[in-house]
Amino acid sequence: MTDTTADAHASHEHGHGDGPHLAHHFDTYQQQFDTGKLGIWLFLAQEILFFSALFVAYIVYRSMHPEIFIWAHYYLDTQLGAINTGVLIVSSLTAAWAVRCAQNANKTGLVINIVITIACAFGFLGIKYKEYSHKFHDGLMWGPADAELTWTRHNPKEEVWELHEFRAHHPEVAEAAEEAAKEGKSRAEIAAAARKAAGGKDYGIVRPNHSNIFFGIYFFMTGLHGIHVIAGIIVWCWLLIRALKGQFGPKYFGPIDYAALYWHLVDLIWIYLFPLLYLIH
Amino acid sequence: MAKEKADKASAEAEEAKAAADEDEDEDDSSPEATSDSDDEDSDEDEDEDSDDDEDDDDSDGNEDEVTKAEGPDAKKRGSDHPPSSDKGHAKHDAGHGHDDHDHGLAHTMPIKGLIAVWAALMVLTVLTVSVTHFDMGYTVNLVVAMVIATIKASLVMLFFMHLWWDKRFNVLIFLGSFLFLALFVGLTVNDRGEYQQNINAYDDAKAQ
Repeated sequence: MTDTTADAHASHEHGHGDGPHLAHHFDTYQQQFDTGKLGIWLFLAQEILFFSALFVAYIVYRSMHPEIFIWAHYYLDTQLGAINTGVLIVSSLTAAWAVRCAQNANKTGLVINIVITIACAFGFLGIKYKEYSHKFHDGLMWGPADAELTWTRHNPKEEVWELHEFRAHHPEVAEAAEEAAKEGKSRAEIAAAARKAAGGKDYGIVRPNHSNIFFGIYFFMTGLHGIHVIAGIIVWCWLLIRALKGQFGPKYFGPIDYAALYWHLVDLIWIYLFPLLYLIH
Repeated sequence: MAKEKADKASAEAEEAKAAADEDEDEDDSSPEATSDSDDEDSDEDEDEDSDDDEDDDDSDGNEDEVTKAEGPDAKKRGSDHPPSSDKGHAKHDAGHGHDDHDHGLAHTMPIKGLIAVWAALMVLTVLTVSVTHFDMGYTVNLVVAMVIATIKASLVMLFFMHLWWDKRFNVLIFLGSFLFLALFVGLTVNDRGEYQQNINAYDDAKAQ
């Protein structure tokens, strides 16, 4: 706001509205802003295409092998995934709010919103770390069982029927499967026993072939997303410093706006990842 | 009623290209609005969160380009000056119509709108988790989850990302990427079974 005043003054001196944040190759703040905005949209468009390769991998693999996804979903923690979704949505709100504050030259609000956004991003990564370490300890990695890098080997410590969550919901099915497994029966026989106990319904609890591929997709998608979150934290920290210096105002809030757009895209991708990975039914 | 504002603003500054820019504010009757004699629209942002202007004044001293204007009456002075002198741009003129709290360069989301979108996203998240407790079949559950995700994504794009008010060209670029995504997915899925034989042969060989 008072910005305008200063600018009006400045204009009397320079006749051009030059400000400290108006790069010399732009005539006006509007032109500068619109140019940046065009650039960030182009960037986001290519981000969509960047991620699309992973979504295609997911779609192709799931359509060919739904049984792997059904089996694997028992190992994902829906609760943690849902909490992370909430955390990201909150950070999206504060990112959008930060833009508003920058537009209104509300420095305090801007700083607070950026800090909350960064805090949420760390919270998200913390929960992600917890999930990843569980996967690691439970042998739910992406490599084949004979992978050279032993730590990447897919070697689930627990069968689905041994999982607490599954036992709680379908005790008789878990019981039947466990019994069949103890008798050293084949996978097909265990599946048949489980199906019989479930009254004909197939819960897909016997591990299918190539189940490691699901975790390849899982780690790749959430990992690339996580890298984007880390990049977002770096950008927000940089902007936090600039915001503290009071560099943003109604005429110059582009960087905040562009970072927020990027941040919303990261949220947008998670909005799809969450049901695709955690809510398989 | 955002519309009314648009009209008022454009009366003062025609070609208020900023048609996109008005805030959907509920009331203009904040104290500041009356003190600024020249324009009732002036405080449309402030009246939503009056602490905003406190902060405004604090921050002004820090604004690099604003060092000359400080204190609470800076706003007043601001509105007395013809800001269009520095750039004769329509949006800026429209901004003048709104006092200097102009969202000159782009649309500003009102706080109520932000909170409403956030609340809707949270509700939809709870909804998408709870529908998984209902077994509607593999396909229906998947479709429901994707529909909810798409509603959430649309809310984020339209309001948090301001696409609703953005330039058509930017919208085109972004939506264009989805067109290519559809091509990519469509063509790949189309021959996804192409190598299944080889995979089966490999599995069989390994099993032996």
